[in-house]
Amino acid sequence: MILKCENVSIRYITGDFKDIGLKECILRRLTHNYHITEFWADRHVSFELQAGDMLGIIGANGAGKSTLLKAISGIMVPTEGNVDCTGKISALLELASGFDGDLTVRENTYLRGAMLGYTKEFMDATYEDIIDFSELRDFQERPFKQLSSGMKSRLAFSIASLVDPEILILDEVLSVGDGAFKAKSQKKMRQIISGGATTILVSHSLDQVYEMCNKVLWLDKGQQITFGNNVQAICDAYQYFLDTGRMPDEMPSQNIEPLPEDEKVVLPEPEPGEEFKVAAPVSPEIVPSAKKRRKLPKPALIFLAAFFALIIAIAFSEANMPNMIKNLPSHKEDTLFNSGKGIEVCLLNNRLYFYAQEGSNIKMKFFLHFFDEKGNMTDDDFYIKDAKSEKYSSRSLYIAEVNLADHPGCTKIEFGQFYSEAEADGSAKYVESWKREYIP
Amino acid sequence: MIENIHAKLQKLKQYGFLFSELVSRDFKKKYKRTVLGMAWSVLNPLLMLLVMRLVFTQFFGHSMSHYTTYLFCGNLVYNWFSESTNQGMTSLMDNANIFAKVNVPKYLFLFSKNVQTIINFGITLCVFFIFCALDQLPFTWKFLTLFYPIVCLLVFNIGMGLILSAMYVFFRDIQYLWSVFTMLVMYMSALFYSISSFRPVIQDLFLLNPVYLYIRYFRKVVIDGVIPSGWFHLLALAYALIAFCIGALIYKKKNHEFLYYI
Repeated sequence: MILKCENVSIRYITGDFKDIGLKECILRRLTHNYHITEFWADRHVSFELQAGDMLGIIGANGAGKSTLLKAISGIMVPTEGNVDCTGKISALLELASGFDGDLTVRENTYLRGAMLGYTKEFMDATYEDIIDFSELRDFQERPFKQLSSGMKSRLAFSIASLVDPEILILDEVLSVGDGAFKAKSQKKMRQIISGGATTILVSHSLDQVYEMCNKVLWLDKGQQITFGNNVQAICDAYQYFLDTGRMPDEMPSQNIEPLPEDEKVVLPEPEPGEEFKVAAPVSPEIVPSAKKRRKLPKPALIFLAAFFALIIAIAFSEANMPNMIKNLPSHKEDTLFNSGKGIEVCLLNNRLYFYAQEGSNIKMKFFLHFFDEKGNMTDDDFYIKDAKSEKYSSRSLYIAEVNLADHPGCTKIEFGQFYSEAEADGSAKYVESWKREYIP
Repeated sequence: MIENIHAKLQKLKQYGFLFSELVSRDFKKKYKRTVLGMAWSVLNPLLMLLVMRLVFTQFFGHSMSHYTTYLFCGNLVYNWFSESTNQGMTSLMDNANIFAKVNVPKYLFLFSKNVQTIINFGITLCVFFIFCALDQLPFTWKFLTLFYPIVCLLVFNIGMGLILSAMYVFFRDIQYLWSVFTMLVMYMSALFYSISSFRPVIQDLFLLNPVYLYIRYFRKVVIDGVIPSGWFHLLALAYALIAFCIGALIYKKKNHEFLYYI
């Protein structure tokens, strides 16, 4: 057993917050009209492959084939069930996409090789083979976008087929190129398969599946219709379905004879459960939808709330805005007067700012006294600043800021420096060394 | 634990070739059809510096010693941050057609973009040192400590890139918000003004801005010739690690969900 899918289901969600946008989402929630739709691209798909098997996956468009391949190649994680895989996978999904139109053929070849997990040495060694096989020798330095679509697919196939993978996944790739190249690519495929690789092939060409595969998986609208190794019978049933649009009344019984021409293949023991399971009738709508009301995703709610809170906070907090957003006095223009003692006073927006000028005392003990019109001291304040302890040194040391609105009725402000003297009893006495006054 | 690391290394080796191919692709695409090519890595920041220098000395009359170097420090760091996050944001989405088809580690796309921006930064850094010499700033061994903020900023940029690129997949709106936000960061990073006229408390608040922190580191070393304190180093590292851890966590958790939103 090299690859085992157990009850694999993959769900897409449509119609949620990210799908319809914020405005629509809020509107619908307000009107109680908010639904999300689940869409099961694959539902309960189970199969098992042995080394050397070649599985063909058939089904109409939208049957979930490509999604299933994504789960197998590890790009997607199944919503339910699990994929068990031992071996290196090389997946060729939608071959011609993923190339960069601006890069040249050579650059694209190397890039694609890197994506498929090859080493530089390997690419150096096989680059010539790739170019020869794809017949693009004359186009090596041309930008990729100038190639015809057939050439693009040829290059894609050539790069991918040079792998030596244990599991090879091919999504509608064998129909690339013109007739001659098609034959060449089929030959190459056979070579890879006979090398013992397990291959999964998605194709709309029933002939191709019939010709190359030893197992078939039929998907329809995400449901597994059948899986088995009687390729002929399943292909016929599928053809009948395509022709009439109806499921055949009875499914072909399973062919249990091992394929004669391939000795390497070890066919699985027929299990009783492997009889053809006919899936439950599928509703004619493509979307087997389960409607559910769903809340806004939590992070989005938190984000929104925080965003609005921030806006509101900014809008209403003008009074408490830090000074960096308001104007700060610029010393030159706003200086009210210079005390003559190295203190500069600036007035801006009814606030007084006190600065010590460059070269003034490094240790600054500064006081402020406020007086009303009767000459009584209504308030006082002092600041002790040490230029050394400040984390910066600038051309003037910021000392204090006074909002005059906080001192209504103040007619005089005294300011100056003081020092402290130790008294005999150990207490400290404060002595003003100088003072100036300011009349608002 | 050791086995785990060994497995990780093995994986890294395996993707080394892809990584180098992605880097070379990004380079080829970036300078495609430009006449001057790589020279723009040097010219672009220089032209911006010229504009700023002109505006702020001629029109606004800023006078400060080593003002050109002061400006250049800010521009150097800020440009790297802004370029790296803005390009990193779209890196995952731009490569949607690759990771939807092939199972590759998704962070490689972001890393590749970051390689490109760090090379740009390196070139600009060389020009910066030439300017320092022209500005007659002494080169000392202390310049070696600049390696520290560069590594921190690189980790920080990658972290922000991880966060942004993941968010960009889920909410395309983030690109508009982010361009406004980077502008805010620019004005809050004191690129062209000095914060010494603010109160000490507010000066400390500036350090909440990681970009300013890294700019300050550069200025301290280059202009003042001082190595910042230990706390400064810790803070620089903390910002980088926090951003990176959050980003890595988002990628780890959402790794398989990206596919549904492309």
